[in-house]
Amino acid sequence: MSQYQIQKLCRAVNNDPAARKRFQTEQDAFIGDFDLSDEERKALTAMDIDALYNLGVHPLLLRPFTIIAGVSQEDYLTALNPGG
Amino acid sequence: MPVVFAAGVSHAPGSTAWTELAPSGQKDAIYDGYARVARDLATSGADSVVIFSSEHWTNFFFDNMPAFCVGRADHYFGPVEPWLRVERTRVPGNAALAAELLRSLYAEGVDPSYSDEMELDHGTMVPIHFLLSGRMKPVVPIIFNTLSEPMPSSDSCFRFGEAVGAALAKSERKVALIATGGLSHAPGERRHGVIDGDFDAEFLDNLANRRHDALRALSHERMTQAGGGTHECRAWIALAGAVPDWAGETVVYEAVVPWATGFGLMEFRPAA
Repeated sequence: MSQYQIQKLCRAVNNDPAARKRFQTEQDAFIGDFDLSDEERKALTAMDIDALYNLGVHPLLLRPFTIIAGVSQEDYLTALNPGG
Repeated sequence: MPVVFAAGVSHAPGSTAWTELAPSGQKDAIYDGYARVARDLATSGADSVVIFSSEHWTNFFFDNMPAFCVGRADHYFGPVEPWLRVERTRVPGNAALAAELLRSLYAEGVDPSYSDEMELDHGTMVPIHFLLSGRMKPVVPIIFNTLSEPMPSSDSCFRFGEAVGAALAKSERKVALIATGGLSHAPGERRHGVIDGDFDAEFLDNLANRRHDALRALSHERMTQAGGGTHECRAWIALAGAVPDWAGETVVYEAVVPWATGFGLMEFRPAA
């Protein structure tokens, strides 16, 4: 569990155009730069929003991170509330 | 001449990024309200704008999280968000006013952080877009930690605002003071979209009636209950401290579900 590192990654993608480009074009190498658990790496590569939330990514990092990935508000809420 | 204009404004990014999702009546009421606040700011004679706003992981992070940070740069760039639908621009800063403000605060034993390089996100760029487009004035952004616990209490924010108000009162400049954030919202949470209308009504009523004890006593827990973004209301509480003799008048309030925010605009004037 490296909550600090995974949030640092999300923040970089949100704020830094160069980091955003690397996340989009060489994702494995970019993710490899951060000290993450297997579970965290898996949640990131699968863009598993519910898992990222449960891993402790702050909501105000996670929502912009998913906006950049093209996730609508409706899909975001569905991912976080799978039971409806 | 110290503070010549004061207003509290919401900065929900939906107001620029997904404008069209809001019911047109709500959107029009908010745009008209922002136009009125912009007009009143322009006619106030203010030469600079001090903005109390909230951190959104743009300038600060868990490696270093100041409670209050005064921007002292002579310019800023923003917004940082490529999706905000606000053109990235260079915003002039008033470095001299910031330096003067910091000297006054430190002389009184109020010691905020300060920064000569900050990026502006929607928390400052949405108000700048609506209030200063086409009639830009140099700004001093003051960023509050409203994100990461522990964060300064309502009472601490009120006292910080009092100190800023006292410092500006000694200034030769004519300052517009803008507090921005809130009202109730839960951005990114599982309950994203939930708006606490009761909280918002009571908060605006307390500002309108200068119930400073109630504002200072507003608990962290009550704001959390109204949604994590509601902590941004601390900026408005600081504004009430900065102009303690001024009463708020609601320009508009709309609970805008597609923007996931209780959206409020309030102007403050010397109480009769």
